[in-house]
Amino acid sequence: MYKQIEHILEGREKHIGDDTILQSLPHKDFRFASPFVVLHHLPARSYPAGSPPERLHPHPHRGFAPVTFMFQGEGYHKDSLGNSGILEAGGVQWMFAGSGLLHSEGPSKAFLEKGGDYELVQLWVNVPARHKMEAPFYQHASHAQMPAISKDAGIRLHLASGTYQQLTGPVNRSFTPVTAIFGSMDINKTVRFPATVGDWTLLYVVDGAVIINDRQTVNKQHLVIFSKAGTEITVTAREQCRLLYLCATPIDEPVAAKGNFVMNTLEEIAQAEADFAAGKFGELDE
Amino acid sequence: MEVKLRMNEKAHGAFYIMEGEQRLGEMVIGIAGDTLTAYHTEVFPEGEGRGLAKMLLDAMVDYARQHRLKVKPLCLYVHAQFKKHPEAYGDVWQQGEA
Repeated sequence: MYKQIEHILEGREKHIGDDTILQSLPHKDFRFASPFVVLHHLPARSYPAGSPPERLHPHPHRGFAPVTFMFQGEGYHKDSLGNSGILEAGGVQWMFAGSGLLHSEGPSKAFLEKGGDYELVQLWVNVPARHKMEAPFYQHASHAQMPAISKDAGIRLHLASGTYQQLTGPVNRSFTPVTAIFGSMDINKTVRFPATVGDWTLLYVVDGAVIINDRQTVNKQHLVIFSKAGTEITVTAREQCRLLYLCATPIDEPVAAKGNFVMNTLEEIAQAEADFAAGKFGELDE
Repeated sequence: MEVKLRMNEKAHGAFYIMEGEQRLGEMVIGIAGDTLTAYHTEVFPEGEGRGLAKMLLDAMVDYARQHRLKVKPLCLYVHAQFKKHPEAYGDVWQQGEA
C-alpha cells in the first residue's frame, strides 16, 4: 500500500547571514517530523572564478546532527574543537553536534578560485534525549563510498545512511534508524522506495519535477510529508530531477527547537543559550 | 504588533515581537558592562515575510544607542547586516571581537 501524501510544503526564503536559503521544514503548516527537524536548501548559485572568500560566520549547535548533502560545488567547514575538512560534490557530512560546538561553513578556497555552481541541502536530524549531551563527532561519506540504489544509468541515487533492499549506507551512527538517499534521475525513470509502517517518510525535490505514486506532481523546492501508514512510495521523474529521500523511525519526545539548538524543553534551550553566552561552546575566529 | 524587551536578573533576555498574545519573533541578547551581545534572531513561521527580523534589529540598535552600548554580533543575521551596512551600524558595532 502506498503511503499517502499528507503535506506538500513549499520552501520559503529565509536569510541566514548573507545566504538566502529555502526552508521547507519547519513550516507554518507542519512543524516537525522528528528526527527531521529542519530542512534548508541553498539553491544553486554560480560563482565566477576568483570569487572572494565567503563564510557563514561561526555559530553554535547542540542536541542534534546537522547533515549536509552537497549537490554541487565544494564546501569547507571548521569548528571550535579543531576539526576541519572539505565536502566535495556528491558527498555527505553527518556532524553530530552533541553537547555543543561552534562551526563555520562555506565554499572551499579551491572552489572559489576555480568557480562553478554551489548547491547543498542541510538537514537537522534529531537524536533521543539521552544522547543529546554526548561528545560531538563527524561522519563523512564521499560520493564513491555511497552505493547506488539502481544499476540503471538514468537513476543516479546514492544511499548515504540506512538501508535500501540489500544495501547499507556508509553513515551508520545516527542513534535511531535514518535512511537518506539523494542524487538525480532522468526523465521518465521510476524508483520505488520501500518504507516502514509508522516511519516518517519525506521527499524533497531539489530540482525538476516528479510524479508521486503515479498520481501527484510535485515541483522543485517542495517537501512532501507522507502518511505513517503504508509501505512504499514511487517516484517518477517528470523531467530530469534531483531529490532527497528520507525515512526514519519517529523520535516520540517533545521537541524544543530554537535558534541553533534542538532540545526537549525550553529550560534546556535557555541553558544552551546561557552556555553559549558564557563561552562554553569554545572559540572560532572565522 | 509591538516589540518588547524582557530581561532576567542576569541581564539576559530578548526583544520579542508580539501580535496580541502571539509571539512572532525574537532576538536573544545579553548585556554585560557596556556591551550588548546579540546571540540569535529568529522569526517564527507565522511571522515570516513581513520584515520582522529588521524590526528586531532596529529595536536592538535603538536600545544600544540610547543606553550607550556597543553591540557584539554573535548572531549570523546581525553580523551580516552590520557587515553589509557599516554606514548604518558602524557606530554601535563592537568590532574585532565577533
